[in-house]
Amino acid sequence: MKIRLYKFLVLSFIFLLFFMSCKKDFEFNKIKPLTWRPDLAIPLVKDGITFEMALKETGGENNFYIDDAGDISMLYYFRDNAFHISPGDLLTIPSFPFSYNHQFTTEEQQIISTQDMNITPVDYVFNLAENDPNVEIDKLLVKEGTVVVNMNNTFNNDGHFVIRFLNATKNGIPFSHITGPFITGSSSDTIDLSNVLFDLLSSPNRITVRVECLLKKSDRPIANDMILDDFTLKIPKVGRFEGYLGQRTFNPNQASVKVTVFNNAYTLGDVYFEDPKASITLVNSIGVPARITIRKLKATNSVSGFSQDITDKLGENAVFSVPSPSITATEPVLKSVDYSNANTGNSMDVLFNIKPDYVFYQITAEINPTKRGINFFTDTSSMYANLLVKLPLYGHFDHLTVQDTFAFSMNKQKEIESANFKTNIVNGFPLQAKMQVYFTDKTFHKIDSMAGNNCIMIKEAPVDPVTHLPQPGMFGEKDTSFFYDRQRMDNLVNADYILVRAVLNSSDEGSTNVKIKATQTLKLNFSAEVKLKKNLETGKK
Amino acid sequence: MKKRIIVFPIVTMILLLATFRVFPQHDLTLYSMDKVPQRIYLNPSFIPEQKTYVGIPFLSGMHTTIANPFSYNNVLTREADDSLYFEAERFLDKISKNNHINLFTSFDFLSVGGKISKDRFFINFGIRERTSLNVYLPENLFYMLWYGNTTPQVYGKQVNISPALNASVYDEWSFTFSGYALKKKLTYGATVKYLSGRINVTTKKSTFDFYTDPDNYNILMRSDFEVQTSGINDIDSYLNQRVPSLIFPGNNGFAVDLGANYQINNHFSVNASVLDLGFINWRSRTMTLVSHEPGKEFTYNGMSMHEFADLFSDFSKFGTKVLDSLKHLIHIDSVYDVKYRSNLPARFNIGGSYSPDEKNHINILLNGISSAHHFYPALSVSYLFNWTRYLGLTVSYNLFNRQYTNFGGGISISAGPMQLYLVSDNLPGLIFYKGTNNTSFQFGINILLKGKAAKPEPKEPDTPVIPAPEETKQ
Repeated sequence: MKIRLYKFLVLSFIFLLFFMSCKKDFEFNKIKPLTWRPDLAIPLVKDGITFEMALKETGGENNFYIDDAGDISMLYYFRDNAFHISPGDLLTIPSFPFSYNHQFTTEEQQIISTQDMNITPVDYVFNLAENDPNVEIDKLLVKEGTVVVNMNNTFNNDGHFVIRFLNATKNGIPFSHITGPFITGSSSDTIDLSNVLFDLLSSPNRITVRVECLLKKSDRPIANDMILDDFTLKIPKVGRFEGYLGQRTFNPNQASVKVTVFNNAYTLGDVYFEDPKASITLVNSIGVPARITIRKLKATNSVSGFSQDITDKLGENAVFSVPSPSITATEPVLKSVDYSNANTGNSMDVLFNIKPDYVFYQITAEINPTKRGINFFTDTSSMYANLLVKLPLYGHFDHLTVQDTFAFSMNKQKEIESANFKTNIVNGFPLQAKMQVYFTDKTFHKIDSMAGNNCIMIKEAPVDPVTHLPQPGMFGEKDTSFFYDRQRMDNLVNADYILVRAVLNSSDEGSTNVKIKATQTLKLNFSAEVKLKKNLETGKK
Repeated sequence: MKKRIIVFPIVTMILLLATFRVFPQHDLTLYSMDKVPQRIYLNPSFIPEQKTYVGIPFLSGMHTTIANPFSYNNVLTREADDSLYFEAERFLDKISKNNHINLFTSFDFLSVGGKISKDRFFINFGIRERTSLNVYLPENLFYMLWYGNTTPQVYGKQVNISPALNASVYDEWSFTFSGYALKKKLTYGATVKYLSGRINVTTKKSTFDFYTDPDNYNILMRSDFEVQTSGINDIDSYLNQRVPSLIFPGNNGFAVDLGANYQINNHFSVNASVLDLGFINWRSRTMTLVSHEPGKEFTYNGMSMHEFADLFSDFSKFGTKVLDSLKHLIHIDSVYDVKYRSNLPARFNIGGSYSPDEKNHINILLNGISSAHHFYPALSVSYLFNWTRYLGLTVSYNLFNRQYTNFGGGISISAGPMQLYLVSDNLPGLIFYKGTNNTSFQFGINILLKGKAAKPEPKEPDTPVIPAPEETKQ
C-alpha cells in the first residue's frame, strides 16, 4: 500500500512540474507587438465626366445650353431687362388744383333762414393729357388717385358738397362724393379715386368735375360768410389705359453687361467659335407697336484694352419691329432677332474674338412708328429686351485654361509607407489637355505638384475632318503613375488646397475646328498601390 | 489511511486541472486499454472486466483531441527575455492550401456501469458533454490578410478566401447494453443516446471569391454563404437562461453506437464498431446567415469623382470609406427560427488483437472520422502490457493528420478501488508540444468494484471411458 501511494505521489508530482513549466508558453499577453506590412491595391475613382458635368463642377452650369441633338452652346452673356419701358414712361398725368369760392349775399341769407338752398353747381374740366398733345385718352382706370379737399368756411351749416365726376363710374355706378357738414374754420377731406373708370370716348382726355353745394335751413350762413375750398386732383398711377399714345421715341442711356462664362477660368487663350450667334428678344405686354433700332453694340476687353463696335455691320438687321399684343391677349408678344456671321458680314467673329468681358449696347424704341391704332396698357405692362449670345462649342481653341480649387485636409498618415497612384484617362473630347495638380497651403503657395515639373498630357480623341466630331469608338488614352514616398506624403499634411489646372487645345495645336457635344465623356480610373506599416498590439495589456 | 488514499489523488488532480491547458479525436490508444471502463464508449462490445464501475463525477473522463495544420513552433518563438514572437512568414510557409483545425473534446459528468444477470450482460449509463469543432482555413485567406491583395498567390487570380466553421456542443445521455453470444466468443453491444444540443454552427456553403484586376485594381467579389447556427445569436446572454433551458434547450437528437468483438481463438480476436450514427434537430435560438444574392458578382471599382473630391477635406476618412463601400457590396441576411438538422461526425473502428498470453497484447486498429464532408483516417498499432491487475501500460504508434511521429501511450493505475488512467495518442506531442501539430489527452478517475468472485462454472462430469471390449478369444 505504501509503495503504491509513493508511486502515485511521484507520478503526480512529475505531472505537476511538467504542466507548470509549460504554462509560460501560453502567456499570450507576452507576445510582442507585430509589425504588419501589407501591400494593398485599391481602386479609388471610376468616373466619367461630360462637358456638362464639368461646367457644373466649375459653377458654369447657368451659362450653357444643350439642344436636342446634344450640341452645346455657351451662353456667353445673358441679361434680363436690357431695355425697359414701363407705363410710367408712356403716360404721366399731372395734378390739377382748383378752387371753389362763394360769398353769401343778403338774399341768400334770407332764403337759407327759411329753407334749404342749392348753390348753382360749378363744373371744372381738366385735360389729362395736357402735357402731351399727341396722346388721346379714351378710357382710364385709376390705380391710385385722390382729390384732396381743403375747406375753409366762416360758418357752420349741416349742408354738404357733392363732388360729382360726370364721366366716371366706380363699380358701374356713377361716381360722386359727399363732403360735409360745413364747419367754421379749416378742415379737409380726401376722395379716393382708385378703381374709378373714366370713360372719355365722347370727349377724349377731358374729365369734368362738378361741385354742388347744398345749404340746410339755418340762421347761418349770413351775408358775407364765405366758402373757400381748394381741391387738388392727382392720378399718379394708371390701372388701365385705352386710347392712343402718339408717336414717340424712347432713348434709354447706354447700358453694359459683364461676361460670366467661366467662373474659374484663368484665361480664355485663343478661342475661335465657329458661327457664334447673338439674339435680342423683345418682350412686349404694352398694347403699342414699336420699332427698335440698335444704335450701339460694342464689346470691350478691359484686360487687353481692345474694343470692337459692330453697330454699322448689322445692316438692315439693326432695325426691327415689335408688334402690339391684342387687347384680349393674356401673354406678351415676343420678337427675336438673331445676329450671326451670315447677316452681319462675319462681325460676330470679330466681336467675340477679342474675348470681351463687357458688352455695351444702346437701342432706340419708337412707339406707333407707322399708322395710328388702338393703344392700351395696364399697370403691369412693360416692354423689355433680353440680350442673349450663344456660342456653339464648335470651333478651335488654343490654350483655353480652366482651373478649380478644392479644400484639402490630411492628417499625418503614420501607417502609409508609400503609395503609387495610377491613372488611366480615356478622353472622348476632341480637346487635348495638359493637366497639373498642385497641393498648396492657405496662401496658395505650392507645396507639391503631382506630376512634378511636368504636366499630365492627355491626347484628344481623333477627330473626323468632315464632321469635326471624334471618330466613333476612338479615344485619347493616357496612363500615368505617381509615386509618393513617406516624406512626400508627410509634406501633404501642410496642404490646405488642391488646385487642378487644365490647358485645353483642340486638334492640331488648336488649329482644327472641333465640335463638342454633351455626350462626349472623359473617363477616369484612379487607383493606388499602398504599402502600409502597422504595429499590431497582441495579448492583453 | 484509506481516506487519505482517496482524498490525495483527488486533490492532486484538481491541482493538475488548475495548470492544465486544453489543446484542441481518434481515441486510438484508449481503444486497446482493456482495464479502462470508458473504453466502452469506443466499442459498446468492450465489456469492462470489473463487475461495476463508477466514474467520479466530473473527473472520470476528460478528453481532448486537437489536430492543427501547424505547430506551436511554426507560429511562436520564445525570445531571451521570455517574450513571445509571432512568426508570420514561417507560419505561412508551413500551412498548406487547405487547412483544417479539428478539435474534439468530451467531458464526463457521470459514467456508471455494471454487470447484470449473473454477469451475462453489461449495462452502462453516462452523461457527457461533447464538443466537436472543425475550422477550414484556406491558405489564400492568410496570404491576403498578411501580405495584402498584391501577393502573387492572390493577385490577378480568382481565389476563394472564405473560411468555414462547423461546431457542435451537446450533451449526450447514453445507455449501453452489451452481452455475450456464441459461448462468449462474440461480444456485442449497442448504445442509444439522447442528444441535447447546446450550440451549433453548420456551414452548408462557404464561398467568397476574390479577384484583383492587375490592370486597374478593380476588386471583384462573389459570395455564396449559408451558415446555420443555434445558440450563437445572443451568446452573450447564453448563461442568463433558466437552468432547465440551459440543460434542455429544445434541440433534441438521437444517435446509436454499435460494436462487436469476436474471439477467434485464445490468441486472436477481431472487433469493429461504428459510433455516433445520429443527428440533432436544431430548433432553439436558430439563426441562418445566408448571402442576399448568392453567386452574384460584385465589383468595387472606386467611387465617383465627386465623392472622392468630398474626401479631400478630411483624407484620413478615406480608408473607412473604402471599407464601408466594400462591406456595403456584400449583404448577408440573417434568417431566424429556421429549423435544421445536423449529423454527428461518425466514427468507425476496425481492429484486431493478438495476445500471446494474458499479460501481453498486440493490437492493430483502423479508425476513421467522417466530418463536414471530409474523412479523416487513422492507423494505430499498440502493445498492451498488463502488469498485475493494478497497472496497465500501453504504447502505440499512430498515423493520423499526415503526421508519422505519433507515439502514444497510456497508463492505468489501480490503487484499491480507485483507478487513474492517462492516455495520449501522441505522447511526444504532449511533452514536446511545441513541435507537434496534433495531440490528444485523456484522463479520468474511476471507482472499480470487482464484486464477489464468480462461482466457477460447474465442470461437466467426466464421461467415463468404457474400454473397448476385448475381442473374445475362442
